[in-house]
Amino acid sequence: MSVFDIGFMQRRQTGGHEVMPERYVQVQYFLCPVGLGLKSRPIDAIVGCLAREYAARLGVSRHRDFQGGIVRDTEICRQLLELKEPWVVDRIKVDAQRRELHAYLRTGKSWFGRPAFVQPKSCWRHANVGPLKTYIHASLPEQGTESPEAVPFLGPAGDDYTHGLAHKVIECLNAGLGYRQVCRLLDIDVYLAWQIRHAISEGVHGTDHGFEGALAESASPGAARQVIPPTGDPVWFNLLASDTLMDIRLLSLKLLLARSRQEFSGLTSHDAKILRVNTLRRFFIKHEKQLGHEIAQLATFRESAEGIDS
Amino acid sequence: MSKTTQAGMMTPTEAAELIKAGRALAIAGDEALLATLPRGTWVGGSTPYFMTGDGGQCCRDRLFVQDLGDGDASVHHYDEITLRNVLEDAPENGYSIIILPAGSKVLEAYAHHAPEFPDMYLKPIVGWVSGVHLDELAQGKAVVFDGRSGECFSDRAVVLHVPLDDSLSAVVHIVNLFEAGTGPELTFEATSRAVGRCRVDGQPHNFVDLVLRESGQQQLPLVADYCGAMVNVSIQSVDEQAGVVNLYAPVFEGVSYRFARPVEDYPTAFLAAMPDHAGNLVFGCNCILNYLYSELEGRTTAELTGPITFGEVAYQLLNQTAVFLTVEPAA
Repeated sequence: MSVFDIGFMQRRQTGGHEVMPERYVQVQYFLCPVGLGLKSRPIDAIVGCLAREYAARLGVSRHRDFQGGIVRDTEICRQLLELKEPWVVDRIKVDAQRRELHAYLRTGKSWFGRPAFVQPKSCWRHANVGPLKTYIHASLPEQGTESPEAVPFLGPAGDDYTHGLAHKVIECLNAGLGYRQVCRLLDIDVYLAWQIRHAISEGVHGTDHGFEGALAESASPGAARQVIPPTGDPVWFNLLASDTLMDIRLLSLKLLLARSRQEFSGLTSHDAKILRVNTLRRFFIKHEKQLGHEIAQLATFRESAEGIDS
Repeated sequence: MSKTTQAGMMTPTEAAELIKAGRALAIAGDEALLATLPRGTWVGGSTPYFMTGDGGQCCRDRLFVQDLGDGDASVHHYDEITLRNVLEDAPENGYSIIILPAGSKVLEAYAHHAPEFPDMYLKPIVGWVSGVHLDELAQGKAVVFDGRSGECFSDRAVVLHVPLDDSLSAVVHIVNLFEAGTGPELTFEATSRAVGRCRVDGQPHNFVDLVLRESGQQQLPLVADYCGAMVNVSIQSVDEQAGVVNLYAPVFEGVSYRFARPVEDYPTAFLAAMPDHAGNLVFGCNCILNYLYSELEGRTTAELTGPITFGEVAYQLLNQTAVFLTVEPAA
């Protein structure tokens, strides 16, 4: 059996008793060595891997235990995914061959100790948990009960990725990594990375992921920072938002600026605007030596600046 | 012409010698000649038209070879799905030469989506659209060649990625003699190469009527101003029955266009527009429509030589434009 349904196995092991669909993981799993040959390793090794990740994140010694020596796998998963109430992990599946972790979330209250079973309506790719490609299965809350945009472990309805994964992708891109590098780093395929970038660029969901802080930190170090304004400088927003002519010598910058301005005016998402700013700024950094004439003109766009928070 | 590279008309034997010597080459010519070349670091595309040092000519027994040096250039090919990765495969410092077959889905994909590709405008990419002799438009098929394997494609783009030393940088230039005329401003509601409706100064309008009236026998392209760079979209045909104008490149949603004003003497104007010293010019191409409408056969266009093409690439797909790339010392 390539797919291990831990909850199902627990029910089977307990003779079909309707207990909480969770399996208790012995603390010994924390000590279980997990190597690279994950595909051929048994379920214990997979869970051990999760447990090690858990212990590392929480700063817990591998020799200490939880709750008197045993820890529920769904509880480990809940903490690894950093779920917030009212979300809990209903059950998890690990596909050892495909290195996939499927976490099924719910918000429903227990009914005489038994959770109300609801078939999840959505499945999103989330950031890896350890070496496992992680998928979240859940149904978005009814409108008005909670803003799903604020929850990193959920995703937009109809999309394939969580907000948390989108945040990581955009952070990496804004830090200057190429798509291939981002995909290798996050263990996702290039089309998913492209979808995420495209969705945010287009402001499809009208959401902001709060990248601004990360962007400010990701401003390129060194000499370029001294000459080329940082991401948060209002120069960039003004340059993109205005129609004011700039005397440009490089064809590539003419085309990039024209296109960015054309798109910028239609953007509603702050994140999408930040992406445009970063693309343009990246161009200036990459071609700094050829752009002395253009860099000298940037200061003129600072006048009447209102800043990126405007 | 380049001191470190060379370009010009050659026999297939001469081209083969360069390939065997390990040179990275972009080659234009008749499909049958390209098919005889040995495997190596080269890309090729079909066209029988060339701008040579002696002027424009149609030639089917020789090839136009652009020698791009003996560095670590690499050859790739892409279909319409993988094409979006083209610039991610490109070197951080260097340039890419792309050849796309006319009438293919991969050309359509490039025409529509190139501006959205990762790293577009950040890494230099130039190139051209391959075609066939104008007398064979009905039966001929535009093709490209991947020199590594010698494979011939009519549905893929071939690309030569050429890295440069850190002391050098590649710069893309265009020479477009067309300027926006004084006619109405046109916008389009969708990015498309087949257009029936447009907006004239904001008001809905029949585009077919407008083209028949304003485009100077369809020889004048639409021109858009991209922050000072004039970008053309040329008219391929008018299908009055279907109520559609077919274009050689798409008009983009949200971009404003005007019909160009006529250019009186193309070769003279071209010479005036070319920089005195174009620098180390390693690649060039010019449009078949300029060749035809400006009667360039037997007439030269300064230092700019190369294939006469069925669409030009300077980052995005262009029409009726000359493109060249120079390699210059990094400032």
